[in-house]
Amino acid sequence: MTLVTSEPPFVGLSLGDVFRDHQAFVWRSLYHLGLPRGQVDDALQDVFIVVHRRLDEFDGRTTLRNWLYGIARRVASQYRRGAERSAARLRIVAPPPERTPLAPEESARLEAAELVRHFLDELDDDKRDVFLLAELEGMNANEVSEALGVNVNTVYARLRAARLRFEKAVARHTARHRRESRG
Amino acid sequence: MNGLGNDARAVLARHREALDDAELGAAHNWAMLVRRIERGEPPLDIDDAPPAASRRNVAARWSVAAALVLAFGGAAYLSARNEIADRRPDERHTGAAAYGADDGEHASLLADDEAPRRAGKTARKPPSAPQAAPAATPAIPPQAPASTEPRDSAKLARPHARPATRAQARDDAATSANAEAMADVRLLARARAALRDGKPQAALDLLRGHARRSPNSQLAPERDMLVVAALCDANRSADARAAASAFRRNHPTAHHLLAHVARACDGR
Repeated sequence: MTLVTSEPPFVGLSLGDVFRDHQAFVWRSLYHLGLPRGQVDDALQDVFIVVHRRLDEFDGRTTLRNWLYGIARRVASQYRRGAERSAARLRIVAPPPERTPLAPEESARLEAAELVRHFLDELDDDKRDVFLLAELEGMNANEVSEALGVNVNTVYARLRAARLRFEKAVARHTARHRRESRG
Repeated sequence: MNGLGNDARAVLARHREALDDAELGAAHNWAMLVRRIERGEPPLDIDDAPPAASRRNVAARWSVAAALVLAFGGAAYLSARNEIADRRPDERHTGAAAYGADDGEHASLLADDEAPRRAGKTARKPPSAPQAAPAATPAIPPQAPASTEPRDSAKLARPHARPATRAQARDDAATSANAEAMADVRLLARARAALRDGKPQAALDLLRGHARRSPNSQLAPERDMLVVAALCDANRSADARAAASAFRRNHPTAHHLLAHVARACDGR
């Protein structure tokens, strides 16, 4: 009787399974890691090309989501090296001026997205990882700790600091809004 | 871990709603991913050189790739994408939900063993759960939609296979179409690589050459989107705006790409 099987436990996992269940998470992660929207799709495909090549290596010692996040971070880092070019590119072709005004809800959503994105861009990498996994992806401290390979106390410390900054950013934004609506 | 105030939470909630593109572009990303894998595009060098996947799994994934290329041809692809776009935002935020539809197009994204899992509404269960009989179930999607011409799919899975039926001429024509499609994919990958390397003019040369040779290629929308990006990189703002307008005019149904052309330029 053998106690160790020759098959890794995830041998039946297909690329389609992983893509279907996790592409939205990977997409959001890449966006939150600072990639312009215009690059997120390409980068997402690059993440899954790596997944396709390495799926056999996934041994279940961490969750699939954490494993994917690790790949997404490294792909995002590659992309950010060319970020200056992209930033210049992406500012040029602005939405057409004749565009119909946005509905208030849509406008609020875009404003919120811009605020969060700007906040994440300004945050240092360590705090950004923790904030986006905890607040935007809903992971608990243990999951974040496992995903990032740091201890739970460090996760809490970084999260506290990131939340404080976010609260301040939101307060500044709200105050500016009030001033603009009065004036 | 709670601690954010109401205002901050409201901002995060609105932010999440604004990110529905993650699902909107899923079908497009899947089709492009499969094409890039099919042409053997290597992964980015994100650290040390990755070991090659085992032959058995490579074969299984090629089968998945071929069937998925098939599943995203033409109208079927647009229809699938539009359906995703039509979902309620709360559904779109759940990756599995967006792919949990019962229609053939979405079903073809799924592996053979997926139906029971979906029926049991456990698609979001942690992927670390043991698979019931993984090795015995090849990861090939179920019956392909009729409109997607299974013959082509078989050849995409085995590009060098020779047709052995009396429909030789038709098969040859299909082979030729496949070869053209693969050439298109390779060209777009080269243009994308040129952009990443900071060589927009090289990208433009490739893309314009393609536009002259194959103005009506199936990948014309992707090509024209890259033209906009290349013009921006080349600091040709006026041309980029004109190309973006032409894109909107020429590809009004390329919803996901339209969003990229417009919103990608919102700045960071």
